[in-house]
Order: sequence, then structure tokens, then C-alpha cells
Amino acid sequence: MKQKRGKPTTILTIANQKGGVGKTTTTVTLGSGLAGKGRKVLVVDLDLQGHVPRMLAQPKQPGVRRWYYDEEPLERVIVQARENLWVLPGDKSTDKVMARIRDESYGEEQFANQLKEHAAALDFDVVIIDLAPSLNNLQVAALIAADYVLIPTRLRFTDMDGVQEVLKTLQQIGRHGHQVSGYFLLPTLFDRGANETIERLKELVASQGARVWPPIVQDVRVGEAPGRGLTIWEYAPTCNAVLGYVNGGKRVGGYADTLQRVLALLEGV
Amino acid sequence: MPNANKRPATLPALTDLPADEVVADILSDSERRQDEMKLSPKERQALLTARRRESERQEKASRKAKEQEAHRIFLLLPTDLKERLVGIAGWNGTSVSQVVTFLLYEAVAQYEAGQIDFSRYKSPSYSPRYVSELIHPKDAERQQRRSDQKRKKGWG
Repeated sequence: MKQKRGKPTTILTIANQKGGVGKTTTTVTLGSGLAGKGRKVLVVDLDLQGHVPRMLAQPKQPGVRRWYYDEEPLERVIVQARENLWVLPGDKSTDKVMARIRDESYGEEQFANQLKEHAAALDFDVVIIDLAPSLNNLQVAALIAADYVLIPTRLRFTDMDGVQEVLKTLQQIGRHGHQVSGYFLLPTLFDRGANETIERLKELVASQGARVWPPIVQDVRVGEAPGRGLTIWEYAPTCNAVLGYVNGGKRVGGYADTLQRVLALLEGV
Repeated sequence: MPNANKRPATLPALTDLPADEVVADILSDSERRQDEMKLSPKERQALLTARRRESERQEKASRKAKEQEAHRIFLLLPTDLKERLVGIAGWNGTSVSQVVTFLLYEAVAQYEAGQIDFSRYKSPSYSPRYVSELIHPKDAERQQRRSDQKRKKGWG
């Protein structure tokens, strides 16, 4: 592999052990958003469901297995989905990768190092990893690889429990010398009218402070976009989930705001 | 029987953690809305009326500002001249804008009748945007700035 010139590759892992919190949507939206801002982005689908390529109008493919298990070069298995945006697609055969990580000594570290090294060699500015809603070796490997972790969460009791589990895992990984540069929480499917939502948001802020980013409001168009093979930037760029909802006369939250925050992380601001 | 109103906490609360500014706004806004829910129907109606009036006032002001936008001009006046204009406006109980407009009508008419000649007061401009610099003999501030610029560029 050739050596990468210029800035190092930043790895952003999107994690929550709870399902249905918007991990894949957030991954695809941030990936396509960063690509739109001129960053060279690789989205890695480590979820066996293989929804990342489907959301970008690409077929499910055993890309992760071919790259890590069959040891094919990364450049041969990634798929270009948009300008500046590549996908390392996954499908159910990703479980072979999981087994290999489990069977090898320091398997998680090896996976993390290889991903960093190969992505950097292909000059990617950012790698965004989408994870399955569970905790296994692949999750741990992706958290070890991460420079930053973004935890999307719905503001409900069970989803918040998922947040706590990710934080515990991060803590354990940190004790083994794999400290991430930062982690952030992104409230998704935000229902501003529900008392439960507000109470849970308060709770999250009391526990995590400014690590809690402004929320993504619940918006039917977010669910419609993948069915049309479009990202939300392409399908409904002015919807509330992108621009934020109106609160006290100004728009708050939304993926446009999240994208700016991620860009600031990448620029080291 | 568990208490239906009690929400079990899922995360340990730490103290004095600053919230993100936007998130803090969302929380305070929701608190405000919750407080408003506690008001009597009469009080809520009064609040809504006051809020509607305030929003109409703001809309009117913003509409007026937009209409005036095309007629607005930004002037840099010497301190003494500005003070004199403010004085005249105060003395006559009118706005500075109206005083300046009135006086400019007179001055522009004089200029157009050839009674004011700029040529004696014009010199080449240091700015790439303008060809000439026009300074009134009584404008001490601009004259001072001009001579400072000259000295800086080593022309003085």
C-alpha cells in the first residue's frame, strides 16, 4: 500500500447497542454530507443487515468479508455511491469477519489497525463506521478504531439504557489504552411535544453536558428518502430534520447543524 | 404498584456540566411552555394576545425597515459636523435624516447651478475603488487622515 500524504484519516464510529435509533440514517446522512463538502469519505457497513448500501441505491455485497476475511485489497471491494463517497458494503457474510476477529489474538486491534492503515493509504479524509445494534467483537473493534464516537439515541428509557452500555464499553476500552478523542450524543427522532422526551433530554444533559448535541426532530421525510434511493440532502434538503425545527423564533438542531459540528471536529476546531 | 409518575433515571447525573448552548435553549423553552400550561385560561389568553401584539409589532418594524432599505445611505461624517446636524435637528424638533435631506436639496441645487466647484478640493485617491478624494476645507479629520497616509507611503 502506498503511503498517504497530507492529513491523517479520521474515523467516526456511529454506535448504540439499541436498534431503531437512527444509526444507519445518521451514518449515511453524515457520510453524504461530508462528501458534499468535498471530503473523501468511506462509509463502512459493519451491520449484517447491509442497509448502508441499500440506502445509497447500491446492492448489498459481501465487501467487508472480501476485504478482511478473503484479504482482497480495499480498493477492489469498495463501491463509489456518490461523488467523494465510497461504501464498503456489508451483508450477512460479515459474520465470518466477526468469527476471525474472535479467533485471532488481539483480533479487534488488528481489525482497527488494518482499517486505519488501508483507508489512509487510499487517501480517505474520513471513515464513518455503521454498527449493528448489539455488542460483539466487531463493535469493540470499531470503537477501538474510532477517533470519535457519535451515539444517536431516542429519548426513551430503553434507548438511554443503550447509551449507558456504549459508554461503559468505551470506558473499558479506554482502560486498555484505546482512548477516543471524543464522544458525542445525538438525540434522534426528537418529539418536542412529549414530556418524556424533554425529561430524558434533561437527564442526558445532566449526565453528559455539552456532549449532547442539538436533536434531530422526527420527520417523515427521513424515512421516505431511502425508498427513493436518495439521501436526505437530495430528497428534502429544507426539511426540519435537516435545517432543524423552529424553537423560540430560530431553527435548532437538524443534520445540517450536526454536519457542521462534525466538520469542526475534523478541522480540530 | 409502581408509581406511574416516577421516571427511573438511566444515567448518573453529574453536577455543573455546562450544556450545549442550543440544547440549553431547547430545555429552557420547554420549561417556559410547561410553566405556561399552569396558567389559568384567562391568563393564557392574555399572554397569547400580548405575544401576538409583540409579533405584529416586530413584523411591522421589519417590513418598514425593508421598505426603507433602498433609500438608506451610510455616511461617514466628521464629528463636529455630525454634532451640528444633531443640534439643528434637536432645535427644530425633527430628525437628523430630515435636516440632512433638506440641506442636501439646497446644496445639490447649488452644485448643479455651478455655484460649487469640486476641482480645487480634489486629489488622487489611495483607494483602489475611487479615482479621487474630495475633502472639504473644514473637514479636519479627513485632512489629517490624508496627510497620515501620505507620510506612511513616504510621499509627504
